Amino acid sequence: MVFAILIYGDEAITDCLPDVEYQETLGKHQALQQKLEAENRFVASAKLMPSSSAVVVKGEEPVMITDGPFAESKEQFVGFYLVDCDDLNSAIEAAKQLPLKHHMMEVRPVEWSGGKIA
Amino acid sequence: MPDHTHIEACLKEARPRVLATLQRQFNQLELSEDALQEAMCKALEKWPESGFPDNPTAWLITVSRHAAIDIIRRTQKEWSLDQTEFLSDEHVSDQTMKSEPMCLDNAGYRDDILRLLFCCCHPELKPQDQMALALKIICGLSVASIAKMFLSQQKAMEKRITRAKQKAQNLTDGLTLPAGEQRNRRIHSVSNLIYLLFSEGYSKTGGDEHISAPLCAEAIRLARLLLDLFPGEAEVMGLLSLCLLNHARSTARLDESDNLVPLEQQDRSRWQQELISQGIVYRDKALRLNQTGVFQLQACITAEHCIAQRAEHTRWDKILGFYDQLFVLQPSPIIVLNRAVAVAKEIGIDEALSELEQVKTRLSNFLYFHTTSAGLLMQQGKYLQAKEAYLSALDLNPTAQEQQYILEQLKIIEDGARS
Repeated sequence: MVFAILIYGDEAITDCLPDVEYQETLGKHQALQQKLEAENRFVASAKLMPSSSAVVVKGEEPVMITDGPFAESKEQFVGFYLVDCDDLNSAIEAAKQLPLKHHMMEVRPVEWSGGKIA
Repeated sequence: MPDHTHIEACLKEARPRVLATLQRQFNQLELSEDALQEAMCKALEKWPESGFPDNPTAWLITVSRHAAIDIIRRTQKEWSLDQTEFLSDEHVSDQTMKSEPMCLDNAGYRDDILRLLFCCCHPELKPQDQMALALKIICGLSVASIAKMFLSQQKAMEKRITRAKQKAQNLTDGLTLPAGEQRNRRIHSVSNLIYLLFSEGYSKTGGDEHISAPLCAEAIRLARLLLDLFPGEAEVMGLLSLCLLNHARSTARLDESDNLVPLEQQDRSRWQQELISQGIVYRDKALRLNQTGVFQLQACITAEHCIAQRAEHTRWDKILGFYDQLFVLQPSPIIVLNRAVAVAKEIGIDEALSELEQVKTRLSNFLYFHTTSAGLLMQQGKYLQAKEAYLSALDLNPTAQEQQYILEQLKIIEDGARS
């Protein structure tokens, strides 16, 4: 079963963190990714650019394109993982290995991905 | 529980918003800064145990406001009790902090922050004073680290900032919240200040350090702040794009022995690709708005360099076109100088040299005019004239790395003359 681990954080604060802290964060991501790959459970991952780089596309006839971000909030959606896990608990275990000091994770089952029912 | 670095990052991020709100209420820079300082000390004391408040910015505003009132009571006897009473009727408890009816969306205080940023660009302040003031007030850097960035003594920097603050204070006294056209002018002045900071970090004047990455990072942070406040401003996107695209290449601008490497010889694999991608996204987003401007055009030019896999792939025809547009908006001799490099590539070195000739007198005190001319003259085999130009450049306070480069070029000319 595929689970999404959605990562939220305050971009402006993480932007103010010293470089060592950033490297530490990066290290945890790499460790999880390697582990998932070794166990053949890695599906995908992405880190998004700052929300100010986004545009919002909505509405039909005419389609409206406005300057993002979609929602003005303290916590932004900053990235995600898709992992293949047997059950919710092992997806939570994966999320716990990510850097939680400055971020929050939402673990959410995937209904379908890549054209297949997950 | 939050650790020290996380709290520090949070405080740094909240600083402009808190300070701008305090300024609206008290309109005394010194007082606002001191009050915020006290509140930040309290946060560093409390938050490790209590955890982050629901809204750290609102917490800081409330605590600083009370600190300010205490300072006023202690030091400014002329403030009557009546005046402070209306400010202090609420009791500081965690409860009031939580229920603080603070308007914390960006629209609520973006003009306050803009005003705070704008008062750092007082036209009577020298560019260096403007930069020092912004770093001190908005970024919250210590006087010691600002002094280090500008190769100045701490005492001298302290004095400079105090004087600048006084002038800035006089300016803010008369500043109202802006509307329409006036707001655009303020955004424009602040954008220029941010770019000035970035340029100073990117290519320091004098001294033995050529690039100051921390200064560039502060400038980029300010550009992001400005864009967060005004997310639909094409020129602010252009500014951020330009800073990111230049910053992406800074790693490759110095070799192992800290010598400057000219653009054409840089190892392009050392450019930071993720910063380039980000810069290009902001450029694209800006161009969609069809409001051309100098930052966007400069970002377009820089992007052309960034996307060329090798120096010889650079699309000089595109670059020349952007310079032509830029010159229409900003007919300055500096643009002529930069454009000349594109002219040399796309049309011919003789044409470039004759265009440079036209701005010769106006740029005679500009280091890069002489180094650019010298480079072109070298390519044409006009070594005597090139030598003259390099010698003029040496007199114009080059950084240690620039001086090193010029001396190497002079040696090449001498060796060539001997053989």
